[in-house]
Amino acid sequence: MTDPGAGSSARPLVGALALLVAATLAACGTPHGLPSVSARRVPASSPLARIEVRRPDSFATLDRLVAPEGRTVLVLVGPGCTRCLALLDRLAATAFGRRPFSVLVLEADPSDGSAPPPAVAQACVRLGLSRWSVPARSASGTPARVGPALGLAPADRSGVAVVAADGRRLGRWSGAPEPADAADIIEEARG
Amino acid sequence: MTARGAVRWLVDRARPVAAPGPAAVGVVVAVQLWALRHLLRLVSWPNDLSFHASMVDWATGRFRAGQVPTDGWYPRLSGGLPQFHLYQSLPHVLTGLAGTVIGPERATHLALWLLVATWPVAVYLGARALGLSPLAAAAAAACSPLARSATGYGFEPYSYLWIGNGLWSQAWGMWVAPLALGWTARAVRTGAGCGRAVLAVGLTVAFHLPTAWFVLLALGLWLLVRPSEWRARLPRAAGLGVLSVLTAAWVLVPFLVDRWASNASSFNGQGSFADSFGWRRVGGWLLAGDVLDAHRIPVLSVAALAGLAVALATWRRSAPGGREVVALVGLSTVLFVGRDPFRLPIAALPGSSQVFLHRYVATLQLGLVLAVGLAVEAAWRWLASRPPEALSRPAKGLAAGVAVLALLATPVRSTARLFHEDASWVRQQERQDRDEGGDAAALVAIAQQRGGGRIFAGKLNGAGRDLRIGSVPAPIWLAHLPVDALGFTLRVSALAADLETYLDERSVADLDAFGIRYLLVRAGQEPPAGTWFLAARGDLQLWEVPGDGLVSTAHVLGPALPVGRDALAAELLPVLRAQGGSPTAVRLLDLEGRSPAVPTQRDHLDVPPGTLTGTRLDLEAGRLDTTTHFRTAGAVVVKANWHPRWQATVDGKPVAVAAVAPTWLAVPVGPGHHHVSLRYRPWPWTPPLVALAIAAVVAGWWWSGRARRAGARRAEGEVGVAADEAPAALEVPA
Repeated sequence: MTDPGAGSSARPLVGALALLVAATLAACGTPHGLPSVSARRVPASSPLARIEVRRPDSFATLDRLVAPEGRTVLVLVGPGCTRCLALLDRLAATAFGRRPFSVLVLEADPSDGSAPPPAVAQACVRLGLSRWSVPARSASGTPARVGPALGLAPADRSGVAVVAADGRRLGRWSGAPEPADAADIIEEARG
Repeated sequence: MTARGAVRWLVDRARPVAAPGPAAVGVVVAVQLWALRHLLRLVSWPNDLSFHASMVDWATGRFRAGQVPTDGWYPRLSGGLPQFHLYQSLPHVLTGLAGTVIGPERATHLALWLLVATWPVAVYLGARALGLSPLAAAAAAACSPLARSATGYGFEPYSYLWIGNGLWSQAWGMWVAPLALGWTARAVRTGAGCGRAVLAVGLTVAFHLPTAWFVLLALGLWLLVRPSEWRARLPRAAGLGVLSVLTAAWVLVPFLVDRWASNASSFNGQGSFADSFGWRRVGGWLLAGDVLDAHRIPVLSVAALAGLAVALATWRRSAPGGREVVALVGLSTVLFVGRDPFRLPIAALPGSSQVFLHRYVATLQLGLVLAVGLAVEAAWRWLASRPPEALSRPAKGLAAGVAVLALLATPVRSTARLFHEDASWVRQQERQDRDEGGDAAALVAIAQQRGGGRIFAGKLNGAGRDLRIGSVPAPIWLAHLPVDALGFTLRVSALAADLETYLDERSVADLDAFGIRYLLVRAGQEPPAGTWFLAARGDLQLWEVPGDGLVSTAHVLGPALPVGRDALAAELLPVLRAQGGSPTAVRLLDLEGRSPAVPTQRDHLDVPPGTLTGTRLDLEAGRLDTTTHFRTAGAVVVKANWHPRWQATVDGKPVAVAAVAPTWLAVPVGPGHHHVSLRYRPWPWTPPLVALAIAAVVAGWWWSGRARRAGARRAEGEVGVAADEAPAALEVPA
């Protein structure tokens, strides 16, 4: 060492270099990560949370399926609801568009004897709509319970409800929907 | 300290090392650090760097959870696997540790920047150890960052850039390879420095197995380059080989022991990756200079050719390092040319069936860069030997300057352009990460909050190629986030990796079969039938797939279907399609004749055998706990790849974990209420094997010390030893 003072002067220099590297690293952008989001969920006290639904390959309760943002259209399709097909056509034409909303088709368990027409199932497949059946053997499985959970009359085997992310009912259309209702339902679904 | 004082302090310290060679290397490194500073920017990358960043992120998470991540369940790609003991994962572990301080993503980028920018230091040290003079070593080091091959997989900047291939692990291997080659060559030549040679080889194995394979082969080269000295060299090479293997055992043993439970991809068996490109294409590249100088005038290639010619011309006079460089180039050329026509000699090399031969363009480049150093040294000697009356001293200096400019101008300009272009892409991606990336991250966060399954943005060999966040395909972009995703295909040897490439993106049954619950799609792009809309941000949408998610109950169907690890997709795709999305019955597998048999069921197969409550699944930590109620015997099925290190208990009693179709794991459960617990148990022998590695390095040091003492007694007087053992002047052969 040629300079007796160099040892002591090295420490600030090393510190300055370390600071420079740290500052460079800090200035290099924000790391990737997941932002905190507050996606809303349907509360457990909602009537929707008591409606069990299933597909051939899965099982859920209705509250679990409701979209966390935007609105969800729940279409209850009962026997003889031929007018439902036109409604489903209109909904599918807009639900997958640039301002999408969620559409879930609910039907009674075939074993219940109140199954919708087979054309509904075919239409759902054709239109790409998610179709769920309410098991007759479940606590919620009688039509008299499903309808009220959606805000419909107990006697309604068909109907439409638009619900918000927190499960609140924003609109309802009892009975087999008129084609004229489709525009209102879509407008409500888009908020 | 004043600025003047700082300068004086630096000058004082620089004086002892201000030899021209190290000084030139220092200048090159400083330029590189500046030119490559954009590598520090935290943007998403469109290549393998994102996969490595994901591994580092996982490692940091494990450190923060109080675990040492030399093994564990890495769930983020292809249905998960114990990636850290099936892969060269020491770089990820070390960087993950640094990540606990500065964050894993910063640590990943910092490591890349430092490794690539400072590589000339490794080349210089390695070249000196091989026996090259300071001038030759410095010339090689200065040229090393300028290489550019036709394939882009070599020891060259393109391999590591955003617009390149993101070969982060190779950057670690690239750094230690010259040291390992040089130090082993010196240890075989002189018996000196065995400890550091063993350490360097061990690190190369732990950093990058393909590079390490070449380094281990090179131990044989150091015998062949001087056959007359075989009596002295053979025991040294053999000893180094044994110690190196012992040092690497902690990496190799778990890999070899558990390899049977990983996917042997049918996509890797042949083609230019496995077999390399053949003599016609490689010969064409060599003739055109496209190994060092792709897309530009091949000045470095001509210099390398001259260096090789000089080494061959002086072969009998044994110019230091010359033979070694020729041998490196020769072996690398054979490997890079590949199995057409070198099938037989390559097959004779142990382990050759496990490596991608196209990667040996890297060692070929290293050999050629060293040959450039030999050429520069020969040119300087020729110039210096001209008598003053033929060429005056200023004229010599001028000639040397012109020669250096002529040699470097084209590759420097080309490399600078490459760096500039790369930085431009990084800046652009940074903006797009903020905008569209922010939208995508918010949607992924919603999916994570809802839970229950994997997220999918298409697969790389499908729609995911076209759905991009900025310029990064969405399946790759997802790897930057701590989520369990699919679609970034064929990065890992997970059992489901080949099957994943056949996933039908339009089928909800296929999506559900792979545990996919959420889809990220571009607005206006119709999602698969049966999914429903969840949320939208900007131009991106999140849709949900119906299904049971990652954990369900099912019956186990016998008899066990025998499957081999090399044909998983061919054998299991029909079974997957027959089972459907969340099946009520799954087929038992017999993987490689080694996965366990469990009780199977025959009745009531159309309804799930039980229900689950209170399921807590943490695949990052390799654990599941759930309470079950089974009406009949069945199994808890988890859509994570089966592996023999998964262990399960039912009500505290150990039970075998079965492999079921497609590649998932199943815990058999009897009727009634039960508590099921599933854990991934890491490979247990890492600590003793690491101790063995340390002992091997110490043994190497002890061996060198013994050789040094014996050498001093014999005064063997070998010339051509490395510069840190002898003055440079002694290195010139008489």
